[in-house]
Amino acid sequence: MRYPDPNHRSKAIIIITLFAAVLFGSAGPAGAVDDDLTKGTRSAIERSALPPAEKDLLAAHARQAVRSGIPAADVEAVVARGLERNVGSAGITGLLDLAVQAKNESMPVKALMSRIEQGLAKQVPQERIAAAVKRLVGHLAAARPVVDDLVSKGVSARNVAVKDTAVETVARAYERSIPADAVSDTAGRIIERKGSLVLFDRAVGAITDLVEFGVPADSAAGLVKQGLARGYSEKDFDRMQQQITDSIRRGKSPEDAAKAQHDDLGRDRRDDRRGGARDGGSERRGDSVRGGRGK
Amino acid sequence: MKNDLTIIHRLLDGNLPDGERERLLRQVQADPVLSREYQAMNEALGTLGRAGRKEPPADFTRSVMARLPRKRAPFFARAKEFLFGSRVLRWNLASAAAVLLFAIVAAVMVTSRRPDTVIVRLDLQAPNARQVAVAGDFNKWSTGTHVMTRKNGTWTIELPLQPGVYAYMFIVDSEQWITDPRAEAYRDDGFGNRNAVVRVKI
Repeated sequence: MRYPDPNHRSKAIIIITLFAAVLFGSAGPAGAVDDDLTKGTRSAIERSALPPAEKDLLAAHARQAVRSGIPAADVEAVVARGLERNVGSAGITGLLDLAVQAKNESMPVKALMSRIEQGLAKQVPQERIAAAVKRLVGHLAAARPVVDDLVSKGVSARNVAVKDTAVETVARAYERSIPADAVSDTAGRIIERKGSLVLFDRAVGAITDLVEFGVPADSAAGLVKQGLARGYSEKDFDRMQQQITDSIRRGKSPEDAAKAQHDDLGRDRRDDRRGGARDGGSERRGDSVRGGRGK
Repeated sequence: MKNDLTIIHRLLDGNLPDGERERLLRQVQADPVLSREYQAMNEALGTLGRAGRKEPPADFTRSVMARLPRKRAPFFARAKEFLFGSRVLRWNLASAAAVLLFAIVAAVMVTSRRPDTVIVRLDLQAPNARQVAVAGDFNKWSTGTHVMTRKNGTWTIELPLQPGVYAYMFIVDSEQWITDPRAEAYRDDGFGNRNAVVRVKI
């Protein structure tokens, strides 16, 4: 009778484990290289007609951007597109440095990078892109304390990404000249009803979206305020926005569309008072609670 | 008797100095009872020696224990044993390889798992256009990667997008930027134009 040699078995297990470790160790993310820059960034710089010293300088700024925490793919898009559009190394590094500065001040950079990328794609002159980015940085700086205050007062933020998105949404509202009072009033109502940061984000976003459709800022803010008082969830704001934009598309003026929605909300409230807890009203409140918990 | 048996054991175990062995042997032979005992034990030892040494099978202990009559322990004792009793894992190459394979497959699945995507269809009526592409947050505003296909004057593209809010614009004939007239929302692009916005939800 033959019995397996325990030493031989252990050796085999060790060999398989080592093989697996080598297999996993060698499988890095596609495109990642050892010096932080993607292959695309390096090849774009190498292919460019820049003098060697400028190539080195641009690579150094790009590397610094990646090391500051800006996604390498965004850095690649800015560098490659900037070179393609003949922006020049000084112009590209200037844009990257603005993003790095914002990142170092713990600001979200998704919207900033998007602005730089689309500015370059739309062939906007570098000076105008830089000016637009600086404006946005200013709005982000003003938006951050509003969101920080909400979080410090117990409004739940599921993760950093949700917080960053909310900061960018408030910055977008400021950019569209939504009064700071309207934003802070929305924040106050979110705290009052123990809502989430996602709901705050959607409420402020709804004000801005309605303004983009031509609804006056005070009407848009009033509608959102009414919606929050009615216990609206994110879905309810989606629906409200959809109804208004559909009305505008059908030919109603933005003011009239907002007024009709305002009247509908008022009618709903009167119905609630008359009929007690109406089915629709209960459902909405139920929805808002689920939304508040971050479904 | 105890001492006498000790004498026999010492003789049978061996490793005695010559003088000592002779002395003990004489002592045994002088006593008939002890002599018989010694003889019987010596024969038994010889029989065992001739039978040769056999290794017990790997499951010898388990099979012996399995034949013993079962004494059923109380429920709580069994539950305690089940929950807190220590266990010995008996490995072999096949089971180790199977576990490793499972770990590799699970790790690959977890690392390669992408959040759910939604197919979003965008279209634009542009019967006279030669080419229409779409650029937006989803492709880092690349103007050449998402070219739309034409069908009866309508340009269409289907985009697999993860949940989120995306700004976008159409590019007609590689030069004219067009805002989607049927977008659900719009957003200032910061340069004097309006981007269309699509909100993707699961």
